Amino acid sequence: MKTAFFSSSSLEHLAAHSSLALALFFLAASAIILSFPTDFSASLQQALFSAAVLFLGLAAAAVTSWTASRLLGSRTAFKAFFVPTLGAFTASVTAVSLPLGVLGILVFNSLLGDPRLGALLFSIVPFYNYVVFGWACEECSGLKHSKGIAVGLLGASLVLALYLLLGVLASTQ
Amino acid sequence: MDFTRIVFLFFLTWVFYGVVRSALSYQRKRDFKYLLAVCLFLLLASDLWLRAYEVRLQAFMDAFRVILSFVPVGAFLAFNYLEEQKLREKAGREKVTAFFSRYVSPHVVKKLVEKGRIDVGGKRKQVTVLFTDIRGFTSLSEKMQPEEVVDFLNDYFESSTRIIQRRNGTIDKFIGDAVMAIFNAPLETPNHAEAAVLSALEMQEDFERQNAAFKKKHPGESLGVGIGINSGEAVVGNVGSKSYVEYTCIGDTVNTASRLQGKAAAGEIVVSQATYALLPQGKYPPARVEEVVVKGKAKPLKVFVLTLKSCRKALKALKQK
Repeated sequence: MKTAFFSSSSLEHLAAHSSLALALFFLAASAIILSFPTDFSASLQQALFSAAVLFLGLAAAAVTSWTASRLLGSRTAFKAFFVPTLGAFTASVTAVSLPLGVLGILVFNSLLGDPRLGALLFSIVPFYNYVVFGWACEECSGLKHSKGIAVGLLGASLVLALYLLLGVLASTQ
Repeated sequence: MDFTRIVFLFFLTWVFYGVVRSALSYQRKRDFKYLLAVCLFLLLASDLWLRAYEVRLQAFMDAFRVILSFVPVGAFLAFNYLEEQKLREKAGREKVTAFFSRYVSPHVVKKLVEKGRIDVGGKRKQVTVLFTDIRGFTSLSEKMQPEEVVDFLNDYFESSTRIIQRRNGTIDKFIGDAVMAIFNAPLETPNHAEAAVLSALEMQEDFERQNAAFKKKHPGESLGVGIGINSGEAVVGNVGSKSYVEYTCIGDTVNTASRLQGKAAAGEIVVSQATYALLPQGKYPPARVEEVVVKGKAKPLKVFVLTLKSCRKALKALKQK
């Protein structure tokens, strides 16, 4: 969970204990949490479709970031990059998105009766997720200065692109 | 979703990344420029965020009022947390300094803890180097029990370290029964030559006490310390590999000090002309002045031989102080 709050040592710990099972767990957990319907008007089929897109999209984002980092000179092994970056993302979704989402709904919608403010608060949460993923990519790549920042920005942008794609797919369904 | 909005969202993501990246850099390096970057990125991010989501100012102000009511509590908690963290960091630093000061000179440890890293490399500096050696100890130690040798050396090193460190000197290393110490590095000591000479005199005085105790145990045997001191430019710094470094001093100044120590008889302090020139005039009268030939030098060196007897006045004045 500490990875959600930018703990480099936790990221190293994840890299040291990386495995395929752990990667699948992180992918599945993120996909399920993020595709969970908030207003229950969406069908189960839609939720499953979103989960599948997220599962594959997140994996693709991590693979692309790793490839870019290798092209820029990183020597990090795939396993040591793939698992920690996804672990950090899952941690940020679980430790930040979920509680803030609940807080947004409870405090602003129910207590203050102004859903706009809840939406405002919640609108910043995905950015936190993008940034955590980007930061994890930068740290795991082991690249310094501009190359490291480039990998971080690419990682964050890829997750944003995935969110945007998900929105487009949901609207076309 | 139109293209402009997509570009806008990407830009917003990068600005948020900038906020976090600068904050993390500030946390690591404690450099004010990163704090400034955090503030600038935050301003930009909040502006973009509000624009991106077209929030009306009134709605924002309503939320702001609610948040403001929590500010005093938040500020108190943040202040407490920062204070606690500061104290924890200070305690940690003190623990590390105390622990490693037994292996490396406390001045060196303090510098390293302040800096937070070890840079391999050195820089030229004016230093005074002191070498000591116990005369006849090697042959005598063959007749002593190993435990007795260790006890004697520990006692000797203990008092030598105390004397040298009290005058801001740095113990470079113990070599067998010899001590090498540097003055004016890493701690700036304007009167480094005098500090070294005073340390040498005090060491001679202290050794007399140790020698008296030794004589009681080993009647007929006697020990003495020979000390060599030289001043000049030397390269001081961390020498070694990435995994093992030693704070030390390298150069001709060091070699000459070591050679002068070789010329000092028991109870003598052989001071080079370079060191003697830095001492207050007439304060440390030499027992004799002579020219010595040392290995590696073509010309004989003029040296000043100091003893406890010749410098008794200076020592007495020091004690009265």
